[in-house]
Amino acid sequence: MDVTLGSGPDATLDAEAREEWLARCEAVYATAYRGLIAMGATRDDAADALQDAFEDALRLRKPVAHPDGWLFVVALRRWRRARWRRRIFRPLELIGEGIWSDRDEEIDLLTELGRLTERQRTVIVARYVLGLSQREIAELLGIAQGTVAATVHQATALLRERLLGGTN
Amino acid sequence: MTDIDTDLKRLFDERLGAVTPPPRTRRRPRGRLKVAAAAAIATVAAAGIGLAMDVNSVAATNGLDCASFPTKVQLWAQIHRSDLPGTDHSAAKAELGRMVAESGCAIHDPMHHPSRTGPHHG
Repeated sequence: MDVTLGSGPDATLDAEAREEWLARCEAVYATAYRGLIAMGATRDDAADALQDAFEDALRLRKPVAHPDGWLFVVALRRWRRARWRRRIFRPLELIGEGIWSDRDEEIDLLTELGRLTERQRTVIVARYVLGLSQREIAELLGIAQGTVAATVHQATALLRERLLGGTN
Repeated sequence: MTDIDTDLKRLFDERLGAVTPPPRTRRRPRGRLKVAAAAAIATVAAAGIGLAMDVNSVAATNGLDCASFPTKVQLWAQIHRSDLPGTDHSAAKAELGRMVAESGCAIHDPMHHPSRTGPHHG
């Protein structure tokens, strides 16, 4: 997972590296999509945000440190921006956003994720859904690794208590 | 992987594993559509402002600056119609004179403006 495309931060993507980069983005598409759903996005919003992120990926000139996490983080940013815009124009439609499934077990996971703080939710989804390491999450989100570790610990305890009854 | 709770990880895998993403398709050209719509609106607005300024300018030149906007538009149309080749200019001038007379506006003649001509001699 810890792969840097290209030969360094100042390198530019050549044709081969670009192909590899886009193939990697395609490979993590499904995981990133599930990550966005876990963050509370609707199916349409998740697909739209990922399409936006793919457009950004096509325009990318420099290699990135963690291609797998990059797509998720960029799509997440795109989705938040779209959600913020919608919040201005259609505030009432926010009610129930994200609760898209008619399956109880999916709803309870999404509901409990929704009760976490934005940072807790992002870190937990990056850790459990995308499978990123604490170091990768810290670099991608621009926060300290210790903060990631503490956030994972707190959020895991909360989810465990709420979804699994606190048993260990 | 010590910070991963295996029960919770299984829960995530079970409940989100069933979520199938839609096939990736070519993006709907929403952004380009918005830019095109904004450009069209800006063009129409600019053309409208330009037209209104031209109408006012033509009305002012012909001494109809106090008239209502529809009258100014009529005058503007009349002036442009008389510019067409094959137009009867004397009829157009007469129509123009009629419109100015009906508007009730005082005809401006810059050459005879009080500030330029000085005191009048009776």
